[in-house]
Amino acid sequence: MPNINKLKSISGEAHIIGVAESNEIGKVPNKSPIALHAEAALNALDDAGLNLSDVDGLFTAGWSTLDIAEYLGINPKYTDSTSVGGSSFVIHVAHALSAIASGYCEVALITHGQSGRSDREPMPRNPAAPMAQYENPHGIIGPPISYAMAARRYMHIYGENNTREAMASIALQTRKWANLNPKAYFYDKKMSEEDYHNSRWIAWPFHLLDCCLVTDAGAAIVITSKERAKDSKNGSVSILGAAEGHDHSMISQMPDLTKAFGTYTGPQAMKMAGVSHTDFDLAMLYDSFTYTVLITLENLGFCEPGEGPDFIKSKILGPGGNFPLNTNGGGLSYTHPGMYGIFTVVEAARQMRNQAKDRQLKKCNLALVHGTGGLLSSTGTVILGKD
Amino acid sequence: MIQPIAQPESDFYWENLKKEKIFIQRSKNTKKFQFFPREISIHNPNEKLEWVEVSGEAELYTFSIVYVAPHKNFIDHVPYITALVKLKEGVIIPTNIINVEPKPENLVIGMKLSPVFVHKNNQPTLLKFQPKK
Repeated sequence: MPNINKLKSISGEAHIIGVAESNEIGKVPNKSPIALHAEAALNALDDAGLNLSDVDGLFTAGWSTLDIAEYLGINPKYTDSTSVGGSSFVIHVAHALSAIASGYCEVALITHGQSGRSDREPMPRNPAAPMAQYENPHGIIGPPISYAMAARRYMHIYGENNTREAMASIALQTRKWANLNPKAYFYDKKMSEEDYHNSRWIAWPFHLLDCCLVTDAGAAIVITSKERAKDSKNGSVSILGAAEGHDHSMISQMPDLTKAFGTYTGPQAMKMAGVSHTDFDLAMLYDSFTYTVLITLENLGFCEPGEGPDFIKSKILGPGGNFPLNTNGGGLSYTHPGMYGIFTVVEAARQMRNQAKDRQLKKCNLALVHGTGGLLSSTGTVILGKD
Repeated sequence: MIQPIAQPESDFYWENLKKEKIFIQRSKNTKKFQFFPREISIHNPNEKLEWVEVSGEAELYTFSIVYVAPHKNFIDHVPYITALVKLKEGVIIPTNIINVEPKPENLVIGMKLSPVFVHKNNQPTLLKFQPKK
């Protein structure tokens, strides 16, 4: 089992000092996915006040670090290509903390780049994988269908109308944040309740507006030691707690369609950081679908199983509210190139370094960042504290 | 459609579907079933596995109705019903519900289902389900 005492001893030993997106996000047909990695990497290093030559640890998902390092022209001394879906980049933050705390590297660079929208990078399928044998032949392919089947099971157990209302509320309040973020895909587009309910079906019970965007985008994060973070250019954010894991790959193997692995990673990361649910000023929860947010709130322990809809009704998640959630506009309304996890970390770091402009929270000392990847398969939770 | 490519540990499963027989793996001592076919028991890696023929009687565990094809090979099939069904023996199988209009009101979680063997010339037989008559 993970050794919580050892983990507590490395809490705060690494700090985020740079975050950035690629120059453009949304529709970027004139850039390759690997170019988006590179662009974001340089932007994040600039935010950190460092150069590519300072990087000695490289982390990425969807690609091998071999390709990214070669493209950037660097020789990392620590490499990690952990790819467990969109949560991978949140998990990389944990791995960077561990690598830095144990001395494997001093400046960790996490990169992401995908052209989901411009479609030059079709998802590879492994024909020998169980998924290709047992699910794909039935047209059970990709996230919307799998997550929709999980949501339908939730509705069966906890009620269809209150679940629908909660899903609509998540979509609407997330859009309000996007309307404050000029980089958001839907910055200029408001959403009404009618828009939500009238949007076309993708995979029932999911409307179009239950589903994340499909965009082109890149992002990167720079993490370094406590010592080296002290004189960083734009301030730093402390990595206080982190946990990761997964319990299935195919949706048909998920132990309980209403409980993802956040039931473990949430409490474990909080234990490592020594914080509790009421301490947070911001929650950045990977919103691949409205349903993902609903059960993530439950899974992390903000409320009991099945109480997600009541919890959402009792809070204001949008601007000016008492439970700020996905302040960048989320995967639902800001950007989602395929594996969105890195953007949850980017936004949390921006809120804590007062870089969030019109959507800046008055107080943001502690944030919970949570990625869900694959088919509700993997989760990574990271707790960040303002320095 | 996308055709499954059988692997050594699943040849027996696919060959029997062709004969309209459903075989599921069971751990020899604990008598616990598992789906999908594997080389090892997920209930106890020290136990041997045996193949057991089952009736295919099942109930609907959950479903979705797919309106946007997730792959070019399914463009002509939408809307279609994807489902997870629970066999009497307790295992969950990913599949389609066929021979029913793809409308949410036609599908009740817990409804009884029976197996349908869908043969395509020279391709593996797929196990689908329909509402029990």
